[in-house]
Amino acid sequence: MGDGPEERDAGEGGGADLPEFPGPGGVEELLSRADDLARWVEVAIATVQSFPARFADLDLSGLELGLILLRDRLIPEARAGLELPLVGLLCGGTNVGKSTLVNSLAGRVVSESGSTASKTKRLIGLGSVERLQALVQAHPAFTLRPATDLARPDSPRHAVYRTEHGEWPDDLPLLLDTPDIDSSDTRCREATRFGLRLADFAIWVTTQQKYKDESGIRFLNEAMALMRCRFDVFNQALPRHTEALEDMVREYGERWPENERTIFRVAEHPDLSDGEGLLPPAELASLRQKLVEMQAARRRVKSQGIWHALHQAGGRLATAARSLVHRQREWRRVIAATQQRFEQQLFDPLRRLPGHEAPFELQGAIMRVLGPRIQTPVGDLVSQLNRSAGDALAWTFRKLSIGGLFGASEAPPDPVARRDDSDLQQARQILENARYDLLEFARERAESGHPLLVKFHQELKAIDLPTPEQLAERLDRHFREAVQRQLLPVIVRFETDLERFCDDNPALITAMKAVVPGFAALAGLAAAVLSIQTMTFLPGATEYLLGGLALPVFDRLKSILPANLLEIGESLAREPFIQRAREDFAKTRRAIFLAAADWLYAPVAPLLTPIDLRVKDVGLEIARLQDLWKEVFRHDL
Amino acid sequence: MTCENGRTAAGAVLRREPGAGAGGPSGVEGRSAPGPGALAPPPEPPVVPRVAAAGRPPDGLPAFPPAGSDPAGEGPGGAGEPAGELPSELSLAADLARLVREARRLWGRPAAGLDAEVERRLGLLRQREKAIADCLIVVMLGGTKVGKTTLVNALAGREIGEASARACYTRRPAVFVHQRREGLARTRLAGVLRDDDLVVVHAEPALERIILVDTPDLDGIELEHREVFRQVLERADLALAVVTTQKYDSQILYEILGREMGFRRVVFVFNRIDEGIPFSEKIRRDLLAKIAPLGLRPPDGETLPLFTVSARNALLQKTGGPVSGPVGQFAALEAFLRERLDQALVRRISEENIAAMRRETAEHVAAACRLAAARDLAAGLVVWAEERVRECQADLERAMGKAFRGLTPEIRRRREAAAAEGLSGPFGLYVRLLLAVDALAGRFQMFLSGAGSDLEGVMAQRLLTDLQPVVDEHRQRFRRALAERADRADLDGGPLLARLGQDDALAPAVRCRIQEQISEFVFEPRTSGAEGFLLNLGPLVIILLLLRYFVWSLLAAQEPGAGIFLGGAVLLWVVCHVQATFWLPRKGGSLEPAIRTIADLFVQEVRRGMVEPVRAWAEEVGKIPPPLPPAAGGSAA
Repeated sequence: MGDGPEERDAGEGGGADLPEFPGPGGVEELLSRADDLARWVEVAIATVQSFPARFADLDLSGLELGLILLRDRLIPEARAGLELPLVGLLCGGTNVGKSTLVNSLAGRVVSESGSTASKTKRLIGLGSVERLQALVQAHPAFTLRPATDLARPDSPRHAVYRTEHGEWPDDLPLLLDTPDIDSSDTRCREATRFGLRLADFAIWVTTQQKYKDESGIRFLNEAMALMRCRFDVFNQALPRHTEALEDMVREYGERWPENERTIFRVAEHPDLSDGEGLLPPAELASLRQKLVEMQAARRRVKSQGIWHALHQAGGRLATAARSLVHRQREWRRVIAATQQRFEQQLFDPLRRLPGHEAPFELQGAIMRVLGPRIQTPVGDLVSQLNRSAGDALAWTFRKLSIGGLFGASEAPPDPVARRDDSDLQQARQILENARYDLLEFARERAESGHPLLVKFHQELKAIDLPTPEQLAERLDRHFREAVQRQLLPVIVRFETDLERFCDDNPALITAMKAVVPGFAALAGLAAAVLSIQTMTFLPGATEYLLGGLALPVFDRLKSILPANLLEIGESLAREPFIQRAREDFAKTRRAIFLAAADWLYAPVAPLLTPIDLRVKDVGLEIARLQDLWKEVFRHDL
Repeated sequence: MTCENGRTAAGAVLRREPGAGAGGPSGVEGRSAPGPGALAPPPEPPVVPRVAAAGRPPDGLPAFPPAGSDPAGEGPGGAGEPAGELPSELSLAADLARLVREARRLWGRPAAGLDAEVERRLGLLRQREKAIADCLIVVMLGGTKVGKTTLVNALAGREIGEASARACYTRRPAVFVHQRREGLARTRLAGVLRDDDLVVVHAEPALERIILVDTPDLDGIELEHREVFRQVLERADLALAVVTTQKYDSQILYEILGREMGFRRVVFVFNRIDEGIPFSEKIRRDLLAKIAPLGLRPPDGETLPLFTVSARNALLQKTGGPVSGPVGQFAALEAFLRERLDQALVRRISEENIAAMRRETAEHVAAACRLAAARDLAAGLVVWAEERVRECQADLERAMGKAFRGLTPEIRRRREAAAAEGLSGPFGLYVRLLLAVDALAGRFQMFLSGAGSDLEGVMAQRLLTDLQPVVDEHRQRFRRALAERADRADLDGGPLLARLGQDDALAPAVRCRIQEQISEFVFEPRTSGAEGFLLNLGPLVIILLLLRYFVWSLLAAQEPGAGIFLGGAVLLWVVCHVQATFWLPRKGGSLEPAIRTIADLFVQEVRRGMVEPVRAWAEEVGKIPPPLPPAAGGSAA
């Protein structure tokens, strides 16, 4: 796969429509642009989901992150003018003491805690009902539910559950208590990730045992792309953990240099009984103080947070979009190559079968229609004599045992049957060849080791194609039926047209009768000449008409025919209905054979569905959004 | 494990009746809760009644196991010891390597990406087969900061590895091994243990049967730690799964326990029981319920042992430091490792593990080699190829009939002439006359057909030009279909196709034989003397009668009657004609047998090119022995 289109694409997306920027209405434009981009991301995610195998190896988490940024952070906040309640996401691993921490912050038990893992399975909202309501209203995907719903087995995860225990201090931001992020229960982990959509900052509770866990760090990496502020609570600290705390300070500082973080150390209190006790207020005084300050400056926190997310999550979105678009292009190339191969090996040869251009049936129709009309008694007599002479000759040949040379010992071949047989034979071979070629082509390409080609080959192998024998058998049956159903009407229509034409032009018939005054063997031959003139010169046709003699003979015969006849033929050939009939005939016959190609193409078609995602320069869009955000909310930044 | 088993496991203590020995599972029973519905009682320390019987010598003194169980003169490698009655086919690794070689030679598998893994596994098995001994590799399994190193230190009674408060501190495995087993440990851990890794040699006889390996964490952010851990785990017999209240519900832990343990045994150690949220019965039940579906194997019996300990306190206790908390069931854990894992049990585990590892490796290798697919393919291949040959034969006969059609009269003529060759007398004269007239027509035809006098040459040529394409087409189709079958079975058809040879023209020898066959057929009719005599009998009698009449009339001086002679001549002609009419066609015969004979020549050629290589291939595939003979599987069960 070449790498040329990389630049072309950038040009495509970037050069085309740079508008007069900044646009007219700050917030309006911000919203519409964000909405536009979000819709693109949604389509992209749907595309990825509908072709899971084609993108399985790509890291497209940026798409999801970007969608959260746009749909759940930027758009609701911009619409509400940063007046939504400030929300903190309280997250951490199993048994690190999340709930004890919130209870201690509130000064009473507000969130049930228990020592077994995954006690909390959904998002628990801590705060006044009004604030929770405002939050949920701005996020239509979420609902607010009473905590009693938690007991129900089908409790939705897109919901914030309101705790029944007491009031949450109003000077503190809303807090979302979350399930354990390292839990063995996948649904718990997902519920926590939903919290990312609602929160403005995070309170990360960890301990000496957990601060370097990969699951936690991975979650934080996502969260920190969306949020700017984080409080790290080193919980259950013992004096001998000092070294670990220092390690954590260093490690986290290296990992998230762009985020505003504060680390709090909360000492181990072995006297706390299982889930009930509260930490002494002094332990959390500084954290509480910070939270109060934050609540006071919430507009700034939000504005800076989204500004940060536009950089971080937006950057990841742009990266993911780039790799998605690149992959799409690669797939398109793989698919196009296969489709081209199909075209070369299957459709094109079937379209070019020689029989499509040999409308013997139409020539027969001309003879059937014109023959009787230009018949004369003398002509009949000569024909009779001719036939008798022919029979005598055949008998002699047979007697001398040399008839085999002329095929006279058998019935004269029917040109239509002969043409169809030869076409069917060819079509069978084309189908068989294309069938094998399809797999061979994919296999050969897969040998290059390119992962997409290998995958395509694997998928193709899994498809059950009809065997060559089945194809041949189906083709014969299909052809017989289709000729009756599709081709016959074309011929009948032509015959009717021709009859009408003759009726409308009696002068033509008279003229013909005049030029073939009985001697031409003549009426038939005249009609044959006409039919050949009007249709096309083909060896098959002359065989039909002259019983096996070759085209030069016909040419010589033509020269002794009256010139008038040829003129009539030519004028007849120019008639539009004859042209149309020829085209119809070829088209119908082609369609009959192409229908057979579908037996091979249809099973493979799902593999060849092109991915149809609009190319978009997401990086540029993000940059515009940043500029707009800066312009609209400059006072809060 | 069902829920009830889970509760049984809550008792989690193995009790072995005194004197039961290593009699197998029958001698072991899990102790369940005393009453239904009651909570499991606080676990007792495992009772190991053989403490006294084993006669443990004081620490530091090398003690010798009971006489007879351990052969004398065992070097530090311990590899030479024929532990137990392992099946004699010790070279399974070699067998599998042979399988891989054959698979690569015959069907080009394992594929390029998989062979490294196959080689690695074979290497592991080779190591393992080399080092059979009644000694277990015991590894630590757990996340960061669960206290793996501390536990090793506590078990050793001294600082082996440096335990730190920092997470992800242990980077490399450290080995704690009895001095006589050091070589064995190095052999078993070859490939993962580096020269600078810590190997601490001790002389404590009670720990002689286990090789303790401290490992890096499995859930930290350092991904290479996880890699090292996996490498050690692959070589392990028994894992001490260390968990804490904060880390027992970790997704990564359960993934490893569920997917990567294989045949390895597990003992759970719940560490740090006195820190953070304290250990409780609720947590124990939660843990047991979560590990129940993973299908883990205990070292012995039915229930997974679970020890709740504080390794830190135990280490402090042993080293004489200030102990600030409980040590839990540490003594029981120690007793379990020192005495419960007695020689018989260790030997049994070791044997079972080797058998299981052989099975695992054999299955993996067979799957990577696609052995089953190759066998399936080979099974039906010869029958399928024979079918293709039959199809080819039918087509050949059809084509041959067509090729001979024009030549039939000439062949008949030749055969009749050949038959007339041996005929003399008046009938012979008549037949020759008849054939001469016929030959005139023949000359004319030959002149037209260009057959000339070399009929055999023409026939052979025509056969070759007409039949060669048929053969080629079938060969081509056979190759393609074969390639497709191999491809769909995910095998490399290359080696098989290479055996088929090229689509070259028929061998000159076959050409010669065809020509011979034709000559033979043409000159086949012979007329024996007796036949000739019989045929001439009638005409001769008539001639003699006429002569006699002539002589008689001369002697009688009578005018011979012209009517008599005329009648005689007519009679002579009638007799000759009737004889010729019946005799000649019988000699001319039909072409059928010739066609069949010649077609057979072609078919033999085709079969030699198509069926024979396939049959040889299939036989070679069939000769490959199954990767794991049933006997070995039986001994493993």
